[in-house]
Amino acid sequence: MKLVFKKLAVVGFAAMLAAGCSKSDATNNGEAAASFPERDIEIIVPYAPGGTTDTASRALSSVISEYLPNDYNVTVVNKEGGAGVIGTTEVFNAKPDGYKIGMTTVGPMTIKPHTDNTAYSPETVKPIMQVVATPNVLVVKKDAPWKTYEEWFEYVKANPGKFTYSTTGAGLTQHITMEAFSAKTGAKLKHVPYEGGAPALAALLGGHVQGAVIQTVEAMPQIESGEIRALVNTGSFKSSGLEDVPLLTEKGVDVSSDVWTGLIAPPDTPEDVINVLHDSFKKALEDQKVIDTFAKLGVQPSYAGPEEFSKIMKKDYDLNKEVLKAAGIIK
Amino acid sequence: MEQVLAQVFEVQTLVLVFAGVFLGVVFSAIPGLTATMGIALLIPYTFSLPQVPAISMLLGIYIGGMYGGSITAILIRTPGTPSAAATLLDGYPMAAKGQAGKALNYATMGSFVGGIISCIVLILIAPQLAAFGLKFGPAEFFALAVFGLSIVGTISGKNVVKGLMVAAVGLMIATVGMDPIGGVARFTFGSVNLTSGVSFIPALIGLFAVSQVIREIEEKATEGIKKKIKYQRERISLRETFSYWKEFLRASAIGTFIGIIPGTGTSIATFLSYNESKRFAKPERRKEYGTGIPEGVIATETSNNAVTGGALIPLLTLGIPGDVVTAVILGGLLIQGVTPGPLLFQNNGPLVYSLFITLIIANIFMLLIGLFAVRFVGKIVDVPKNILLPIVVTLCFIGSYSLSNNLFDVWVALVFGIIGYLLEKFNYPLPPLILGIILGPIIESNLRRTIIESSGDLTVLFTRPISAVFLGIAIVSFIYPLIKDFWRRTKGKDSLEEDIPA
Repeated sequence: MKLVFKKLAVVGFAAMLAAGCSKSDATNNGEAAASFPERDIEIIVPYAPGGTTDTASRALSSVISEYLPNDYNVTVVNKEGGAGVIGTTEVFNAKPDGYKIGMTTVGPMTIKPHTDNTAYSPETVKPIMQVVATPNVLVVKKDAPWKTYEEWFEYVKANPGKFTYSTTGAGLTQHITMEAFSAKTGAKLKHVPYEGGAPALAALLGGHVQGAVIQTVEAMPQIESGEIRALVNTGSFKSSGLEDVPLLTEKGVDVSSDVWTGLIAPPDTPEDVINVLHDSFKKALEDQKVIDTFAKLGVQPSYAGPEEFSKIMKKDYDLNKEVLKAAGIIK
Repeated sequence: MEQVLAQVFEVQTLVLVFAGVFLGVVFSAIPGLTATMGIALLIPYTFSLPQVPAISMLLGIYIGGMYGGSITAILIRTPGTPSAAATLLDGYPMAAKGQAGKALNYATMGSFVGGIISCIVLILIAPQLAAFGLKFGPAEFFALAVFGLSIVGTISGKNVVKGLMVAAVGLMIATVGMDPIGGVARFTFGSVNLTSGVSFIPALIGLFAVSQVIREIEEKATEGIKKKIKYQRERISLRETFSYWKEFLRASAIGTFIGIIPGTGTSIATFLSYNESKRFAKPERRKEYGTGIPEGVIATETSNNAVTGGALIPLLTLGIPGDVVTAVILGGLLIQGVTPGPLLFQNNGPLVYSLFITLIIANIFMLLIGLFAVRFVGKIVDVPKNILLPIVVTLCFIGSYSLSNNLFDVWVALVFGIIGYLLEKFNYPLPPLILGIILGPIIESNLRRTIIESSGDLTVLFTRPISAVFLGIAIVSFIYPLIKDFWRRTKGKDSLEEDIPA
């Protein structure tokens, strides 16, 4: 099939485009990192422009030239589609010279490899660093009968399959965390996936579901105004403004996962190139302008070095495999 | 209030709003570049700007972006954005008749009126309407989408049966990709590129623009026709414009209404508005829809700009963006330290008023840019085809590629170009295909959500009032032509296929 397409392309205009595009990747490389970088660096964001991952990447790239050696810039390229897999695959297949790196998140890195048979896995990519982590919270409407996690838990234990909750989508962190919760506690809940945090929240506010599991940043405005109440935090840490909301682990349920974002490079990228990138981006993450931008976006800068980030990816990868199996999503 | 006015009427703010509107028009006029992309790319630039100018600029792009798509839709049958997909139903035929200037002027006037009316609604009764928008749950969305599907008859021209077939194909195309509830890949044939489905904008560009190019090449090759359309700069008088006041009002109401419901989108608004315009038209006029009449252009272009004010209602009052563009604007607002939501009006009162005034100014700028631009861009129809067609093709493919920097999308545009060409050659109408692709996912995911929430009890679709009303109208729309046909036959009259209403 592919061959036929290729033959057709020779006459088609598309072939010209293809040629034009691959040319830019073919620039020579190979010397030591002493002089790295010698031109601008590209970060592939595997999502459409405008989301948190994209905005956070752009915030970093707006200051990075101050910290990169040789004053080169970093440009953000959006390569959306396939729930983040297309962009992440492109990074995996890129030339390992450090000029094309990628932002990746929980979904394409630790969930999709189980469901979609991806070319990459957390073990085969080169981690640079974790940039952001956000916990999720279980929220209910202000007029819901449950004031605390305990009251809610008692209800769901006593009424299996009655409690409906919306999430940002099927097979995403929010869904998988709740599946893990069910597996650990035996409580049966009814999951209603939506197309994102906003519609999931709208469904809760409109009374179409009884609860929602969404990122803290998306829930904050409504929590502050008192329209909704956070019962429990399913992440590994408490985000600012929600210090009073207990973690699931504090309630004796050993489930915790955050929505994280981090930088990765293609396999075989030389160690010294990774070091240059890591050191520059770490400084950028500590830049006051970036800290301010992140604070406004409601995302928490959450640094983890290459080794630690690798461990986080691996941990979530293994956990998600178990949960996906238990939920019957994979065999 | 003085402080608010001083902020808005600062030179910097005005310049940035103007620049925003202008960029929005340009971005949406070029196929594949969208207002969403324009806003996202400018957000880093707004990091360093003060609050009011920064947000004003983003709102400017939003307003301009809803309008610009109509320019290429009318002139070269290429909807720059999905919100202009319905505009070419009557816009391009008007241009083909030599009335490009007129069509553009109506599109501009419509966009302005729609924008201003929805803006007034936003200013006056935003909080109450936001609560109404939340009433839309899975059952209501499902009913609205089924109602949307009943439009197929209206946009199929004389080939209703073929229209239904094409719509069914559209629904099937919509099933490609990740299953919205289970998260399982369907019909992707192992291709990662199809995991998120067939990319909509490249498909749109292919169906209309690429297919048109193929057709023109064929015409030239076989007959060598030199069809010369001369561009006429037609001024439309205010009196003529106002004679369509009902169209403007109806389309504004529909656009604003659809905008208020989070999770719908402009393409639904434009198709619904087009349908209602035809439904309310006099029987003899009804037949002329699709042949290039001002009502068609006014209905679609007014409603897509009316969505702007409507969509800002849930965004500002609840912090819930209604579509992709408003989601990106939400990001821009957060960067500026503004958290939309129930507390926005209390905490940032003056800012909210500045935004309202900015919106009105942006609409005025859009009107000026539009009326001025018509003089120049309209001349595109005078460009010889052997120069214009290569440019169109280039724009189409570059646009498809740049949408997500993915070469696969260029193939999508090309394949859909061939599909579009073949369908039209055998008299199958294209708009129902688009409708199927737009509505398929909404119908499917919301029906399945309804089933989950009600544990399989489908009577909720008819016990919930909003959903019952929409489904009722949809059923009547489907059955009415049959009854009418039957009645005609029993009376011994000929059945008139083109007489079928919505």
